[in-house]
Amino acid sequence: MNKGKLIQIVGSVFDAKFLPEEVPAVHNAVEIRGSFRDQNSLYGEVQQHLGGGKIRAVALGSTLGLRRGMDVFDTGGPLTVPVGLETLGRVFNLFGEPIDELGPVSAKLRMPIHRQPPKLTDLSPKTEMFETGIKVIDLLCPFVRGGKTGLFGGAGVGKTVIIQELIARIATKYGGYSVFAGVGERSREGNDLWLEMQNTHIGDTKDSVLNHTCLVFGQMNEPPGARLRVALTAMTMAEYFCESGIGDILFFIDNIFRFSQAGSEVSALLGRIPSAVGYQSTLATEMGELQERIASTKRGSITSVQAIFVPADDLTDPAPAATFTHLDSFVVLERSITQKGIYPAVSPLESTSRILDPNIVGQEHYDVAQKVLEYLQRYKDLQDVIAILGMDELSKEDQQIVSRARRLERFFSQPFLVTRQFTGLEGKYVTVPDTVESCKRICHGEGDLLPEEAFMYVGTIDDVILKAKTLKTA
Amino acid sequence: MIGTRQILHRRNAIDSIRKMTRTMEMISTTRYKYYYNRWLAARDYHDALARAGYLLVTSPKLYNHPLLKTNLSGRSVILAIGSNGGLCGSYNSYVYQAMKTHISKAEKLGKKLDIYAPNRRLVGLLNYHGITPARIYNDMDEMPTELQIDEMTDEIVNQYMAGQLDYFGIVYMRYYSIASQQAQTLTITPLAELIDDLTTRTTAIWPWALSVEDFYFSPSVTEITEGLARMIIHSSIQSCFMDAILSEHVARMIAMKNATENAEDMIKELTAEYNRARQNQITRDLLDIISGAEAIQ
Repeated sequence: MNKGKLIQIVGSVFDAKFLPEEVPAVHNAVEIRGSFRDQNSLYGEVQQHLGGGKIRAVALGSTLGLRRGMDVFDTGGPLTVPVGLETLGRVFNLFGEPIDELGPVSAKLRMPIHRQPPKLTDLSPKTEMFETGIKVIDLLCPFVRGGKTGLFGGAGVGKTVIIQELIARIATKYGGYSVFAGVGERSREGNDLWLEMQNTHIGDTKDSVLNHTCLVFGQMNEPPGARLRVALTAMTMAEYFCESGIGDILFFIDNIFRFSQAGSEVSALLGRIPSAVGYQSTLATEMGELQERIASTKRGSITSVQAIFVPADDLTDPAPAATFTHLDSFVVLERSITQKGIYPAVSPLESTSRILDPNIVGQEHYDVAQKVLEYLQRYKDLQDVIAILGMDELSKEDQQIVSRARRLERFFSQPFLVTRQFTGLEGKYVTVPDTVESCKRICHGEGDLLPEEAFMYVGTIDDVILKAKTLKTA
Repeated sequence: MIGTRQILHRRNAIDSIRKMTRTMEMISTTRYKYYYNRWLAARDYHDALARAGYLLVTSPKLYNHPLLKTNLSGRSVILAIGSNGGLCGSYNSYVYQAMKTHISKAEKLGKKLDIYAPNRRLVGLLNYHGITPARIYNDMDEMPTELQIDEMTDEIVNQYMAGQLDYFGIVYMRYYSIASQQAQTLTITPLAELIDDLTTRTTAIWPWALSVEDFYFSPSVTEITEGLARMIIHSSIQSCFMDAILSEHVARMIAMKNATENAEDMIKELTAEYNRARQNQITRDLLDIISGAEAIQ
């Protein structure tokens, strides 16, 4: 094993000097041994060769207590992580080490976290809809089976809740395996998820959801290097399931923005020129390398759902913008909708999907979705007029559109399975035909005479009518 | 984030709206004062006519006059006075609500109800609800001319006397004071009901101690009845239009005042948003320049 010396430490980036003929290759993992603080070794990943045997590496752990002159060893290849069925039911950190204190993982196979994306010819684009039972999503931005979905949202609009809801909805019904990557989010949420998965069972079986899931965490307590690479670890594990033909995989990432953010944190330390808004100039490349690996091939599909934080609610920020291009379905969460008390706060006008097409979802679904969008768009256009002059100045036709749009807007709120302890409401699963039928009936004016309140947090239009009756008697 | 230019653009647009609504508020204020003075001046005259009318209907001699008998032709007419222009809040909705009671009543009794309306905002609303006015007065100003009112009066009186009309009512916004207006119906024919309506409305104290026998009429009461009836009807129609226009200007004043205030609030918000966006943009540009320069050193 080639050995070098630590010569410089800046934040989470360090330099080491090897013999010029023994320089470790780019993306190789290097290990610093010796005891400092509470760790025995620290891994780093080679990013640059500085000439004269010097390398620059990103530390994948805390650099606290590191000293110049320590020994640095080349491990001879990129970081590898355990893959295979043995990883199911376990919780890992980015090195593929179990962190759930349930003993070592006896995986036969380890794979490097840096890999090539599948070949162009191996890709198999699918155009089948994936039902979530969430009204607004199924109607306006349907998920693609084997496709990628992004949940965009600013701070505190409910991205994580939706991700967890989707896990609860899809993973419990879905026989296949899931991989969850927690990237730079709250550590508590990882724990919540782990406990909840233990207690939830798939369908009517005694099998807990956790036994079909593999969790990988590099949360916000970790240094940037860890947050930068943890998504790749999870990706590698998911990729193996898919490639070995074990089955179709669900891949959840919360939150992909932290990956870009970590990249931007180390980028300046690595001496790269910052690009727009201080992001790394390699933002699009890094995102592309990760996203291209999330792909459905002939051997198996990966359906991925990614939460994407939107800084300052600005969708044109480079980080979310770089993610946009890779997705099939966009679910945009909007602050103004949360302010109305409507959850999930999906923006109907900004969210969209590649498969919202009459050939895939069916003519009726498409027509109803377009009608709904038309009403909501008109309502949005009229909002200034209403704010200044009031509803009375609108023509009768517009007043009707506004009243239906307001009802539709409220109808898109929905009680969730995972928020039962907060709302006290039983979660509602609405099938696609029911959603389409209900929205069609609202567009035809069936709910015009019902109070707006009746549309909040219900399932189908029949539930609305029922709620209106109870409101009347109360 | 919306660009600073778009915010400015929007702010300017709202500023123009604000100027417009403020101007409309001022116009309505002056128009209101003008009509208020006319309304005040005419009030005594209307009251006096109502008193004379009271004498007429309480006189036992006149029960046989065709204007005082009850017709049974099955045809009623409602004249609905809507607003002249838009931007006056719920004015027309109130008038429409008041009309609806007449429409449903006529439906229930199986009577024919003709709706007359000046060609104004209300006609569109009626059309939306599937009601086609039997007559639309096309050439009416804010206030109808004396001649136009004369024509209306003639038509009502002639049709009533010929037994072709049971009921003629005017639905309009009645003006009580600047703080209170309400959609109401004033019955024009049968005449007895009109005078009933008027006597309950005027400021004079009723019933009067005097009766028709206490007066000396020249020419005789029988001869002047029709003329007096026409005068009362004429002045009632006129006062309805006057009330309507007064109420409309009050409604518009209030609506435009609110609109101006709303626009001002919005401008304030947009200004804050603009400043924030501008500041952000400057910070971002500076950061880009400085960090870029630092990095290549």
